[in-house]
Amino acid sequence: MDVAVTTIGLRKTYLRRGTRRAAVERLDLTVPAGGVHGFLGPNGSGKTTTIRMLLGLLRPDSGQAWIFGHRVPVELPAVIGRVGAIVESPKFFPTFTARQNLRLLSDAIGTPRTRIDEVLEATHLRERADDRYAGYSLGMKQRLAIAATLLKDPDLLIFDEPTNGLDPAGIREIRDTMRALGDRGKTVLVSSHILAEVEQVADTVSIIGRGTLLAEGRVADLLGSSTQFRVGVPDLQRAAAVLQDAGLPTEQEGAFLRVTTEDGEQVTRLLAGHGLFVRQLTPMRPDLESAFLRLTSESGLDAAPEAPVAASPDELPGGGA
Amino acid sequence: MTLTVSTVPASRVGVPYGALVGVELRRLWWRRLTKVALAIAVLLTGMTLYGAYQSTAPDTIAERVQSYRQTVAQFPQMVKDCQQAQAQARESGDAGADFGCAQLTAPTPAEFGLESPEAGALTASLATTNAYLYAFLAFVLGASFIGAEYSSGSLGTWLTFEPRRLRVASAKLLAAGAGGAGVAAVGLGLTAVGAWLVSRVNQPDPALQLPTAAADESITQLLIRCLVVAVAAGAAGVALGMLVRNTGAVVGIVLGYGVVVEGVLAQALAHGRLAPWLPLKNLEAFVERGSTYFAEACTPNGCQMEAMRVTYTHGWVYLLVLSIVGVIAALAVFRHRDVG
Ligand SMILES: Nc1ncnc2c1ncn2[C@@H]1O[C@H](COP(=O)(O)OP(=O)(O)OP(=O)(O)O)[C@@H](O)[C@H]1O
Ligand SMILES: [Mg+2]
Repeated sequence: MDVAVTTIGLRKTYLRRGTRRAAVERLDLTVPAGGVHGFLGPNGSGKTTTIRMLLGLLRPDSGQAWIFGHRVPVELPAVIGRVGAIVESPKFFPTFTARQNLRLLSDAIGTPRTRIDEVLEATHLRERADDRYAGYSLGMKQRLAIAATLLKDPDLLIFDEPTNGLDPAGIREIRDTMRALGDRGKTVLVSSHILAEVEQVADTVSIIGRGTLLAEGRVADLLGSSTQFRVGVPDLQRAAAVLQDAGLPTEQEGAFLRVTTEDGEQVTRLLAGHGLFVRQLTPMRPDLESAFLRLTSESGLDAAPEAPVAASPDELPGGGA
Repeated sequence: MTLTVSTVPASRVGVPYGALVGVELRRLWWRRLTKVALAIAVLLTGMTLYGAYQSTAPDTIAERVQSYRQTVAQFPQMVKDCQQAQAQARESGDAGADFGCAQLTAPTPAEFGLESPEAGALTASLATTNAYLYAFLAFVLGASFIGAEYSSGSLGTWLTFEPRRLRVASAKLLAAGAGGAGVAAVGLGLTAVGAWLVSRVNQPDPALQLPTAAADESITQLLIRCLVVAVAAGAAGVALGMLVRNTGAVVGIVLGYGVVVEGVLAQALAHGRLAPWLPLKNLEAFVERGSTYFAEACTPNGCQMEAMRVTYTHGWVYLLVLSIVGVIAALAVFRHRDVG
């Protein structure tokens, strides 16, 4: 597997009210190259802190990180041209226009000026390109931030909660953008605490809580296979009796039965054998939300107050910025 | 979004350093505050020129000539009065009374501001005062140049395009220094041209035979020193901005320091002997080729306040060391500090 981002034992602490607290605690993250990777965790779990460390904005206390095989932050200059990022919220000079802001950035990396119009066009900002950034709506700001990342034609795009504050149309637009980028072979690392949003677009996910990795893998694997079916049959009482006799836990749920089994075929076979013909058989998948809640509560992470940590013995002495 | 953007052969190593400085200069030029600073420099320079014009205008000269002539006419009487008063004092018992009547000197035209305005001398005297104003404008410009990046958060965005912090920081220092030079160049240029015009327009009546005031040093060198101060002030604004990260705080700290430390405490503490170690005093010594201060000097017979001098050499060496230390501190902090 080609890897876009790897971290090993990444750790970052902050001094708060006299105590050192870990925002990221020995995080081992692996983001496969190509496709959309969700980076999930509740508020304050260390997603933004991790992303800032990857981009060289924060210095980790200890641990190592790589982007496309380059050590960061030491070798970041060699790889930054392949990385586009929006951290937390778009940040530009408010009194400059979109075009001015993009021009400064594009000149800083030496992309041709024609590129500015292209990315403005692609993000539907061309008409408002000469308006001051301060007058932009949240959605326009977000689109400008995406336009800025596209100036580089990056192989890795890092979006930190990109749909924050957007309306449904805006959310959909961003989601489609990420999917399109992923389908073009780019790697998209998208952080979120809104699970439904990531579930729809991500190929793989990493779930963190309190700064440590809780689970990672393909979305389908994390959700697990269906273990319950919703069954529609004409005679609910008789059908329930048949299934229970066969040892399948069954409950009535409105006009349907809910049967717990991994084998849907068995359900139709049993019922048909008793002259009961199934109208509807729906596999009920657990969603990421419940998987997520399960993971965080299993590790006792959701409600527990943050505990202070001891200083790490293996703190990096210096480590370039 | 359609995302139909072409694939560019993205530059993977960043742009040459000069281009990075160029981008910073462009941003500086685009800023509203830069234009405001230029406007203020022009306006205040114009005001000082108007003041110079007024004080060398024919009417003013005529008034001064009159009071000069009056004083000259009254001078013999003044000496006589003095001698009379002295004689009276001696008669009434104080045999050693000395009113210093012999030391009374006849008034000179220069004492009455009666000099033919000369472009060089006028430029020198205006530039010396205006230089501090240009330096302050350059400083504010520098501080807000970096302060705006912290307050808008766009520094984080910038660093995801150019993560080499020393390059980024030094380009900002250079750009702000150049900006300071720009403001000062406009102001000083206007001062020189204006002073020349004033000296032409206010040529006094040759019949008055006014003496010509000559500048007592090279004007070019003075202007260069004023320019250097503005460059350093622009860079100092950025350096302090990097340390403090807030424009208002930087400007407040410097103004507060100027008033409280150099204005009040310097005189109150250590009998005024701190003066040679204060930045603004040394700045003055650099611009004006030496600066005077008063401090207590003690001999076995007792102590008294005496005028002392911060020399030109002391001034520039002090400022050079201060600038180097400041820039190194700012670069070191900028390089290592987290950008939140
Ligand atoms: N500059 C800072 N100083 C002190 N503590 C900080 C700082 N930045 C972040 N933290 C703390 O680090 C922890 C992780 O914060 P972080 O912003 O990385 O979380 P997040 O996962 O991005 O959360 P969200 O979903 O709300 O954006 C939080 O407890 C936060 O309070
Ligand atoms: Mg966050």
